[in-house]
Amino acid sequence: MAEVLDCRGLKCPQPVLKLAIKANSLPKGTVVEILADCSSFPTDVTNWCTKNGKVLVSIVPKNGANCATVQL
Amino acid sequence: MSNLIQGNKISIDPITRLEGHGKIEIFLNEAGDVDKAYLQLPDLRGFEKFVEGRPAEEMPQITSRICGVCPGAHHMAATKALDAMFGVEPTITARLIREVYYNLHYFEDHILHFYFLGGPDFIVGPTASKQERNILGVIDKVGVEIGKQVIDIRLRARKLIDEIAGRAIHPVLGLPGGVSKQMKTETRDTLRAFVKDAVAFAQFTLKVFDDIVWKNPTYRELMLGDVYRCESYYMGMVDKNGHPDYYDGNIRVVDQTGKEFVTFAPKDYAKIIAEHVEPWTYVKFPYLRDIGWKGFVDGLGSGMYRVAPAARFNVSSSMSTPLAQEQRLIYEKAFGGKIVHSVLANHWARLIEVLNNAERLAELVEHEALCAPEIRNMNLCTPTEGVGIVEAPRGTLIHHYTSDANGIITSANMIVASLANVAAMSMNIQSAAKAFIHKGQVNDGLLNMVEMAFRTYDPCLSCATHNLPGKMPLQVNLNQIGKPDRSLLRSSDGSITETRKEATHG
Repeated sequence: MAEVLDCRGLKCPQPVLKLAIKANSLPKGTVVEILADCSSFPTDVTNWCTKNGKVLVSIVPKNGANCATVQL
Repeated sequence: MSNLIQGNKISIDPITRLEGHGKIEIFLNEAGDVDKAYLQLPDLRGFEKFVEGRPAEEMPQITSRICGVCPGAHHMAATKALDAMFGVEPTITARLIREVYYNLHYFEDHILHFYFLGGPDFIVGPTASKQERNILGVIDKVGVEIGKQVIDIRLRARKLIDEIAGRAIHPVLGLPGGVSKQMKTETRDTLRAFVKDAVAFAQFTLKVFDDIVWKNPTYRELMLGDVYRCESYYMGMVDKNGHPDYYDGNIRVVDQTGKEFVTFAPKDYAKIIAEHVEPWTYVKFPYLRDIGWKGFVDGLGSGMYRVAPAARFNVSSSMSTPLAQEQRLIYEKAFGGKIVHSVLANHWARLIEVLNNAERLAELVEHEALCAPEIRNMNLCTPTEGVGIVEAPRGTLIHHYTSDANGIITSANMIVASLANVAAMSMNIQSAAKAFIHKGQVNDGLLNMVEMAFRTYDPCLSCATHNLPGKMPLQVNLNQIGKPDRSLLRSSDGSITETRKEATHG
């Protein structure tokens, strides 16, 4: 079961900061779902995954926000 | 400024041409000479308390609201505290952009002080009427064209700040490990054109200072005399070459002779600095822990230290740029050595820093990495604790935060530059009041010369009031037509007293 981070209401780069903090405490391979409604979140999370060697599995609209699935 | 003389008490309330609020109360003895004088700060800001529970990454935005004049200093100290808290180094490009931003902030902030706040005391004259001692009086004195140049160069600096940091007043630039926005090449071109004019403007302003202030024997005597003088320890940030550094470095403290007392890394500040609180003020008084708080006294035995431009010169060996260093040598020669105790020397040192900022910007704008896309280092660690120190325009500024593992702030401490100078300001105000007020004879000009004792520090008193001593002191005056005036006073210990007097109004 994926870890879930609800970052709705937070402005970028806060959602990715929360993800970066969370990533420190989770084992490699863990899947994290991040829900965020900041308009620049898709770009931000994509860049973070690219720079840090994480897998962006998907990013899809969900309940008026974007839900990114990331494998650490 | 409103001056109220009641019996043996003179109140200057509010004091003017500073950031924040304050008042001066001067008490006379039976002969009409000054017995005591006090600087009082009647407002409470309290940021240290209400940031608790907020996400750490919001601190650069929240703390920049402490002050509308020096938001850049709080923003940068907070950003550096986040770097430390998240265990991350900013990229080279991010550091360059931060430095560009910070030198622009310094440039316009220092110019604000010289032409709008402290400078009118000299350019227009310390005893000129208060209607003239302001920017309009300055323009009247130096001419409309020069006045336009002052306004124009500050406008251009602030537009660049707006472009680089998202906002001119409350920046949205700093992030742990970087900055939020890449610098565009067009912005760099604008900056390149600006720095050329900025260097010329800084040199022009130093000439204005020389012509109007230093060449005036009366002003020179004030600067070199004993009325505006204090011999304390000095503190400031220096780079690895011993130059003043406004953005990063170690903190150096020297004694009254210029001998090094200690140099320490920002994270160790609490081992060196302690804070004294008094029940009658919202201000905390920082002092050197190893020497101790000895009250409102200067000298080797007192742990009081001072910050601000002249202090930065006292702790450093030389300037980082050639034109500023040339000017500093003239400054040191004028004051008779490297260690300068004149309080009014801050005015001159501040303008040399303006030139230093402009020259530093000229270096930064040509750096090949300035417009690179690598603006954030996202290798963040779990946050715990962080200390960020910068040199604010008015002195060493310390932000210290702790957080839980989710990055929620659990405690915050801010040792603001003006705090370090408040004790000295109080002493200098009393010294000036004793020198200028005799036999109960006062006028607006003399009282302004008392105010000059604090104005030279360019204090930010709204930044400085975070201590809540017990209950918040509060006075409520009830004036009702036809009934006695009532005054209710809640003291800091929570006790309430009431006084009544017959109404004087109809």
